[in-house]
Amino acid sequence: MEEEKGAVAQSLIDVVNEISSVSEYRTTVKKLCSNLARRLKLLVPMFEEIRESNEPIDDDALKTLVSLRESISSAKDYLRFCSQGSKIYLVMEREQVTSKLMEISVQLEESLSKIPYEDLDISDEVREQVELVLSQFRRAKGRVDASDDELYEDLHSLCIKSGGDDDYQPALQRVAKKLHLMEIPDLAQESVALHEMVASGGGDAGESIEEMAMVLKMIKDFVQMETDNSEDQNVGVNSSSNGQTSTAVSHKIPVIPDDFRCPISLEMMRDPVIVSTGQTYERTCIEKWIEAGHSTCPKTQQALTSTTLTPNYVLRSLIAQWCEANDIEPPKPPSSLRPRKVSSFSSPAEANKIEDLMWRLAYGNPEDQRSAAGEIRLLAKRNADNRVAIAEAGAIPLLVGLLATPDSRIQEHSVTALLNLSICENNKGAIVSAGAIPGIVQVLKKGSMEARENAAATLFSLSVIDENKVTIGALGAIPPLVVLLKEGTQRGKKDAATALFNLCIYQGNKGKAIRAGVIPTLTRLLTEPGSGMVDEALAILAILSSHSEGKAIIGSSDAVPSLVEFIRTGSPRNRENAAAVLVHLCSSDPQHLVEAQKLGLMGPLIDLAGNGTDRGKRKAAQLLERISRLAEQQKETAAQTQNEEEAEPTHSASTTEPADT
Amino acid sequence: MAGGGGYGGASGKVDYVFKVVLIGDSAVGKSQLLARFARDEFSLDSKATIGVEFQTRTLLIEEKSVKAQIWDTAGQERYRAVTSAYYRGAVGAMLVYDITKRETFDHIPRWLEELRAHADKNIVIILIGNKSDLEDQRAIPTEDAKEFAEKEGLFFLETSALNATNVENSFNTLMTEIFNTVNKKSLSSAGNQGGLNNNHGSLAGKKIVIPGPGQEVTAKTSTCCSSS
Ligand SMILES: Nc1nc2c(ncn2[C@@H]2O[C@H](COP(=O)(O)OP(=O)(O)OP(=O)(O)O)[C@@H](O)[C@H]2O)c(=O)[nH]1
Ligand SMILES: [Mg+2]
Repeated sequence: MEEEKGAVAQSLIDVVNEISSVSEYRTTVKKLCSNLARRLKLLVPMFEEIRESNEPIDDDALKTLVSLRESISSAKDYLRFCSQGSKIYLVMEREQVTSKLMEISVQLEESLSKIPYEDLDISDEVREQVELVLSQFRRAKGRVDASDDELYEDLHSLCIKSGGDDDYQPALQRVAKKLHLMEIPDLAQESVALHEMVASGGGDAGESIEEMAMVLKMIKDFVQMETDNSEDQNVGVNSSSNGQTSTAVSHKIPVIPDDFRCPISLEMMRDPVIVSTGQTYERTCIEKWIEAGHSTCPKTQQALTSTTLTPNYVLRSLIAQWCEANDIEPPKPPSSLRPRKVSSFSSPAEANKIEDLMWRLAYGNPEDQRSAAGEIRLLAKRNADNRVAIAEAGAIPLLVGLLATPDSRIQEHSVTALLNLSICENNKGAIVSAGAIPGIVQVLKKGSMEARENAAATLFSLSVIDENKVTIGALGAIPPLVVLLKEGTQRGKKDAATALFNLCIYQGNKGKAIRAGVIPTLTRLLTEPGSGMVDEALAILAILSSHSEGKAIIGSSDAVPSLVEFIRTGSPRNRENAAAVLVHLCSSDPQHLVEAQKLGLMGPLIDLAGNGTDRGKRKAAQLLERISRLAEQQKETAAQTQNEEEAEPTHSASTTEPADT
Repeated sequence: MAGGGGYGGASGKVDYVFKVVLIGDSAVGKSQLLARFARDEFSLDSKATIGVEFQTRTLLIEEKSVKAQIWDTAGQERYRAVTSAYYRGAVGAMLVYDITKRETFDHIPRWLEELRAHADKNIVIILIGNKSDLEDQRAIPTEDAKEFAEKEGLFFLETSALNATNVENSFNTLMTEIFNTVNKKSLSSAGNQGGLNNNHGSLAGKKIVIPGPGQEVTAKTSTCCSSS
């Protein structure tokens, strides 16, 4: 039975992991699906605790887990379909698709709410997280994403038409673009997805799929025609540029250096931008490439870790210089482009300024870089608009790159600029996907004290997002945070503590913090007079005490006296956290309870049960219950020993009756 | 001939759905044969097929309504997207070559090999020499193809998608043969399995309505195809 429970929990983890590995959902259902997947992922800590717990569970509880697994795996199948299935189907049948997703949510919510959490050995934090997931499922009920109506209308109008006239070209164009059905492999894949639906549906395809097949055929014809046309156009362009060359030849124009040409268009670049692999392309070309749904660098075939395009100012100025030297008019960047990119800035002057800053950041000498990073740090601090504009101008990857410089001032400015930028919700993801974490961790380890503090604060700010908690923990941020908590200034300690708190909400990070030795530091902060860190330390201890290793170490660190003291005299928040720690300690070793009682726990506990915060009351009640259970057990054992003692003299007579009647 | 009836999907009940696949080299005219059969259309500047496509047409065979679900795929390797999945559930295949291009005929054994590797072994196959309208450019004598077909146990016809010669005929031959095979199977297996769509294997087709008792199976009649 015990093993079966572990196996069920493990298989639950496996299905959720499979869901997490589903790469990308079709844009039309992206939001619904990724929300669903994200919520399911939040359940993993619960499954882990169930798997690891030693307490047996009864058959009924096991059944609820098995039925949850069924719901999750049927969710998995449908999510797969939403990732691999026909794009056209997912739009045209959007009512059906959303209602299916809703149905899945409802089913998940039902199976989740049937689980008898009280009977399972689950920590409060995990329990709270599960409740959050449940409430998210409930809230999501009946809420449908506003999807792209134009796309939907277009597809349906194409279905009705399929005639011979070509006034539906614009609709085809929009559909092909929005669904990323512009390239042969995409089209082939879509056709296979439709084939799959027909083949697996068995038998009759149904009229709607036949219509979709028709629409796909129209899109294919359209795309193939476009390709032909653009090939013709290319020929035209080439011949006209040949014409130019012939006039140019008479002027003896030197050959344009290859580096000045976009690898995609082979034309001289007007607005060169760098992608995450370090390659440079003409902005419009690479934008088109990415918009078409590609996620690799066209030249190197490496995956693009982010879609950020950083202006290559140096190259642009080199091209301009070369043009000037050769008496050619330099290619102008499309004028409509630049102002749009920095639209968040109020004045063109500021837009210019930011462009200049980027330039210096990217290619200036260390002096330039230092002052530019410092200015960006201040600008990003000033207001929200600046944070958006600076990120849009491509500052994030540049700043991330500068984290690794040996110059400690540059490091400090860069990490602080990132901290200020991270206040903007949208930047949080961009910073992490620009690969900032390893750099920040490095600064946290080796930077100046101020840089370390700000690195910790940045990690705190980034860890607000759940996915980031996992990434940050995995990239080794926790041990240096623990070090900072131990040896930092007051500010450093605070920053480290808040970051650690956030990170340890994710179950997988608890063990990392514990093994990095956070607990002795925390218990010291509890007792150190004037540490000013009691609130933070107790809060972190409360979440770590649910972890089996954490429990053991706190238990052996002689923390009970101060915990009792906090329950007696602490702030409401500290009282509940101290009680929470105690609940966990006592669950594994009732001896702590005896000790706490001796230290006068009873009075404060009864008071907490009556006057504490909600959570405080709950914790106090749990402790009181344990105390009375313990007392009962003691009575029993006492009675037993007494009985045995009494029975001793009359041993011979007692053979017919058991001693404990 | 045009307007040979049944285009645009006869509404109403469908007794059978048969999946049929078209294969053969690029540009032999697979897509045009399908367009001619399903919609009575033809285009001279047809584009190479990308991935897979399908169209349907419902025929009447021995008073049963039979839906032909015809799948077409790219002959060009780089536009192809599926292999084994494409053949899954197929009960018939049209193996097409271009009578004016020798290599398309020379490749037929390869296509046959692929078909036999991936498709059901009872699949009904018809060999089609297309573009018979281009008699003056003929590269493959009819006799050669006939001989090959006999050797391999295939049906054989020469067609022209352009002027519609034999297109109707070739699909009808294929569908009727499938229909007969399925019904023979169903009768022979009805005794032990008590159903048509049992696991007897393979060539079940997709049966929508189980035919009532006393059904006549008139073998080898090629009356088919609904009203005109
Ligand atoms: N003269 C003549 N031309 C035909 C006939 N059938 C098809 N064609 C032409 O042959 C070319 C190729 O026809 P498709 O039907 O697209 O060829 P396909 O076999 O589908 O080719 P892929 O999709 O690349 O595998 C087109 O230009 C057609 O117009 C025919 O019976 N006679
Ligand atoms: Mg074709």
